[in-house]
Amino acid sequence: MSGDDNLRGYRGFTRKKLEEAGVKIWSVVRVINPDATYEGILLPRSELGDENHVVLKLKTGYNIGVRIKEETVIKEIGYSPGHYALPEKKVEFKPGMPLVTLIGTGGTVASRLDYRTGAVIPAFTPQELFSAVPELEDICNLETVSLFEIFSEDMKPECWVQIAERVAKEINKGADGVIVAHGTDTMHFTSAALSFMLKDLSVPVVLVGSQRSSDRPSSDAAINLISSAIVASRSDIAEVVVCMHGSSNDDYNLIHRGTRVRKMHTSRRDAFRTLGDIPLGLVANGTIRMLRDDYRRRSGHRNVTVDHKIDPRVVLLYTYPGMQPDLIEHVVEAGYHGIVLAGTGLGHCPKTIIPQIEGAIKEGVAVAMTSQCLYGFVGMNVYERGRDLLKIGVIPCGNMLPETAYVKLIYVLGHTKDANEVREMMTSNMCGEITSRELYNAYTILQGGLENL
Amino acid sequence: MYIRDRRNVHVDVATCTRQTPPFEISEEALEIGLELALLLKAKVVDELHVCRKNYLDGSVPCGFQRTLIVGLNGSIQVNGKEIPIETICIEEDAARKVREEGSTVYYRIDRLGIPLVEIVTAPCIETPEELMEAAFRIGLLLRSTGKVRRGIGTIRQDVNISVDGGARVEIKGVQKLEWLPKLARNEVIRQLSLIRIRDELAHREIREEDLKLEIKDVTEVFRKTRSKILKQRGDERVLAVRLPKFSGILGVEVQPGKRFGKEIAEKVRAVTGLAGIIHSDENLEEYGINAEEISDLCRVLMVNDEDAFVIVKAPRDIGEKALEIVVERARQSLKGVPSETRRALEDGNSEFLRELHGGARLYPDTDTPPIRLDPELRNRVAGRLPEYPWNLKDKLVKRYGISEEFAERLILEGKVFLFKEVVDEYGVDPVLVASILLQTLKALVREGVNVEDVGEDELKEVFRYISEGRIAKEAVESLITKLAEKHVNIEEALKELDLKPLSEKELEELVDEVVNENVDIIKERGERAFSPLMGMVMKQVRGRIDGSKVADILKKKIREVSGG
Repeated sequence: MSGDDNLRGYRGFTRKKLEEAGVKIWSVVRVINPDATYEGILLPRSELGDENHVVLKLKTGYNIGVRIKEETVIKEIGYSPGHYALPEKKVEFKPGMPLVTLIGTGGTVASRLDYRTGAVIPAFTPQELFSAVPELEDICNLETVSLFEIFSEDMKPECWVQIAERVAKEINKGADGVIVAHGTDTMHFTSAALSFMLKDLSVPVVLVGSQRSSDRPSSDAAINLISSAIVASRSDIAEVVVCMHGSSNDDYNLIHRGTRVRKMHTSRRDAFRTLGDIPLGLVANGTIRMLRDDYRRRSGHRNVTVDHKIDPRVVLLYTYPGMQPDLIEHVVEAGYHGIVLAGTGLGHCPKTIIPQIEGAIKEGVAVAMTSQCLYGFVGMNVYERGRDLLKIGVIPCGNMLPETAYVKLIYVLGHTKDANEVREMMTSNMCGEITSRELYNAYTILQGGLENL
Repeated sequence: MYIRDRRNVHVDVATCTRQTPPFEISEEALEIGLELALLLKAKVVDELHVCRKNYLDGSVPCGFQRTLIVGLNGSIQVNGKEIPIETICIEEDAARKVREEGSTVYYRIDRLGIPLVEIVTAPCIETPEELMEAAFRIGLLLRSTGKVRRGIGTIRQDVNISVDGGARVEIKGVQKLEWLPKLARNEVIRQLSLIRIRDELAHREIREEDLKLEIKDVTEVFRKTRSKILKQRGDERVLAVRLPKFSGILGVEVQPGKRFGKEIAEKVRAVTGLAGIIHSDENLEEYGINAEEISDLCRVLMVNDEDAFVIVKAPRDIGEKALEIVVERARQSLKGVPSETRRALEDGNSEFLRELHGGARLYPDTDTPPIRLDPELRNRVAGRLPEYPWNLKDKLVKRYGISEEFAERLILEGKVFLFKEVVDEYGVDPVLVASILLQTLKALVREGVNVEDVGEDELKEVFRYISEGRIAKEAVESLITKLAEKHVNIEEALKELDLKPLSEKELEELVDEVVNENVDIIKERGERAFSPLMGMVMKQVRGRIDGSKVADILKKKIREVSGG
C-alpha cells in the first residue's frame, strides 16, 4: 500500500477500468451498468476486497459496492478529496506543570474519525494529541516518542529491553512520569518485564491502551489516556503500572501493579484486572485515590537504570489431560533453558510427563510451576503429585501469574543458569509478583451480575 | 433496562452494554431485506457495505447503529401514481425510551440490535391522504411476505415533512397509520406558523446578534417568592434571559393547543431534562409570581414592553444550558423552521427529539467486511417472491368462493392475510369470515366500538372459537365489543358475557320451558306463534347457539303442541 496510490486498494480488471476512465480516489463518479446507474465518491478499497467491485459513497452518506463489468461505463463528474490531517493545536510549554513523556510502541494512541471518508486519523504528536484529547492540556506538558510500530502480539523480550531503556532515558532526562502506549493483548507481559528491568524507579511508568478503537463512540482510548496522564504526572507512585478502565462505564480507571495485572476479557473495556490482590488505586473525576500504601514512592533522583540481561529461550506451557510426554522432550531438544508450567489446580500435571520433566531438569532446564487457575497459590505439598514434582526439582512460584513467571524466568535466566540461584530468585518476591498472603477481597470475578468489588 | 444520566455526557456516550465484539449480519435479515427490495422493484446492491450511524442520544448504547443499503431506486404504485422508493436498508433497532425521571432516562433494550428494514420513499408525496395511502400500500406489501410481526409498532413510520419555505422535519415513532394525516397536517400548520414568526421577526428587524446569551442570576428577586414553581431547593438558582423585541412571539400558537413557548420548553426538556421554562407571554400570576417580582425582574433584565424574557429554576449548570438552548432556538426562529427530528405524540402534535442528522454521521463499520451478494441467493429469493396482494383478487374469488367485492375489500383493507389464515387454518366458512371482517367490524365501528383495540391475534382467536364450536357466530358482535371495551382475554370476555355455548339438549329444555309456558298462544295461533316464541327463546340464548338450530327445534315443538 502506498499513500501516493490514487487508486488505493483497486486491482486487476477494475483498476484497469478506473485507469481508463481517468478517475482516482475521491473522484465523484457516475458508474453506468446495463441495469442501473450509480453516482458517488470513489472510495479507497480494502486490500482484502475482491477485484470486481468499486466502493462508492452515495449522496445519502451510505457506502455501496458496485460490480464492474466488461460493459460498465465510468465517468468522472467531479472531485471531492478527503482530508487525513487533524487540525494541529499550538503547544506551549506551561511552566509549573509536570512533564510527561509518551512512548508509542505501535497501534493508535488516540485518533479522530473523519466521518466523510470513514478514515481513522491517528493522533500522535503532542499537537495532534492535544487536538484529539484537549483535556490533556490541563494535566501536563507532553512530549512524545515513537519507539516502534508493532502490534502487541508481535512484541519480543528484546522489545521490552528497548522500551525499558527508553523509559529510563526519558526519566533521567527529566520526565516527571512516563506513559507507554501499548496494544492491550500483551500489555501485561510488557508491564511485568518493565517491572523487573527498571531499577531504582523514581517516577510512575504507566502502560495504557484501548480495548475499543477510537473510531467508535464507546472507545475507552481518550479516558484511558487522560487517566494515565493524571497518574503519570501527579501520583506519588514510582512503579510500573497499568491504567485502564475499571468498569464498563467511563466512571473510573484502575491503577494495577505491573506484575499482578492480566487481560481477562477479549473485548470488555474493563478487561484489565489485578489478580489475587487489590489494585494500587483508582482515578475518578480527575483525582487519584490510592487503595493501598505498600507501593514505592516517587523521589527526585534521576539515576534510573535498566537491568537488561535476559534469556528468551523460555516456554510457557499449559498442562492438560492427555498431555503427551514427547512435548517436553522436544522443548529440551530444541535447546530451551526454561519451562514455565501453568499447571492444573494447586500446580499439577499428568503423571505421564513427570519422567520427561525430571529429565529436563537433569539437563539443566529450569522448570517453574504456576497455576492455570490464576487465582490462588500453588500448593505442592498438599497432594502426592505436587510432592513428586517438588522432589524432582520443579520450582513452585507461589501465586505468581503464569505470564509474569514466564517474563521473570526470562529475566532470571539472563542473570544465572545456576539451579539454586534460579530457584532462589524465582521464589522470592522482587516487585509484587508474589504476595505474602491473599486478601479476602482479592478474588473478583463477575458472577452472573454480582460485582464482588 | 439500561439507564443513562443525561447530565453526564461522558457516561451517556460511552456506556456500552455490548461487551462482545459485534456479530455478523443475520442471514435471515439479509434475505428478508432482499425479498423486500425485489418486491419494491429496487436495484439490488452488488456488494453490501455496513455503515455506522452515530446515535449519541443514548438510544444505542454502543453509540452507533449499523445499517446497510440492500436496494436502490424501487417504486410502488399508489392510486395510479408511481411513488419512487429511494432506498431499502437493513438496520439494527435501537433501545426504546420508557420513562424519564429528571435527568435520568430509562430505556427498554428488548429490541436493541434486532434487525429491521427501512424503506425510504422519495419526497414526492403531496397530501396527508396520499401519505396514508402510500404507507398503507407499503405495509400491505410487507405483510404479504408473511414475515412482519403483528401488533402495534412493528411497522413504524418516520415521516419527513416540509412546506414551501420550511425545512425537512422528521417525525419519528408513528405507530398507527391513522395518525398520519393529522400528524402531517399539524406539522404543516407548525411550519407555516414558524414561517409567520420568522416574517414577523424580520418585520421587527431583529438580527441574530441582537439575541445575546446574557444570563442573569435573578435568584435574589425570587428569594422569598410564594411561587411554588420558582421556590429554590438545594443548589437551585433562578436564571433569566432577555429576548429583545420578542414580545408576544412565545405566545404564538404553533400547533393546535401548543404555543411557541411550549415548543421551546419541550426542546429544553429533551436536552436537559428540566421540566419546564417560564416565559413572559404566560400568565405569570397563575404561577404565583407577583407584580413586584415581575417589575424587579424586568428592571434587572432591562426588559421593556417590546421584549420577552425566559426564566428557569435549576442547578446552575443545567439552568445555563437550558437558557443557552432557549436563545439558540430563538435565533433559529429568525430563519424559520429548523431541521430536526421530532417525536410523534398521540394528539397529532410532535415534540423535539434531536437535531436532524444528515449523511455526515454515516461512516463505514470497521468491524464488518463488505458482503458480496451471492447471485444465487438473489435468484432463490426472486424465485419465491409472494404475489402482490393487489393481484390476488381473482384467486381469492376462485379459491374461496367469495364475491369479487369481498375479495377486493379484503385486499384493500389489509385483511386478506388474516382472512386466509383463518380460513386455511381453522376451516371457518370463508363467506362468514369475510362478512365478519368486512361488515360486522364496520358496523361495530359505526356503533362507536373501538374495534382498533382488538388485535389481529385476538380476532384470530375469535374465529378459532367459532371453528371449535365454542361460540356461535351470533356471539361475535358482543364478544368483539367486550374485547374492545376491556383489556381481557377471550375466556374472560366470554365469562363476563355469559356466552357459554348451549348444548342441543339444554336448548331443547329451554324451548320446552317456553313452549309449556305459552301453550295458550300456540293453541290459539298455531304456526303463527313461531315469531313471538322465537323472540322469547332468542332473548335467552342469543350468541350461545346458532339461531337456525333454535328455529328448527322450536318449529318441531310447536307442531307437537299444536298437534299439526
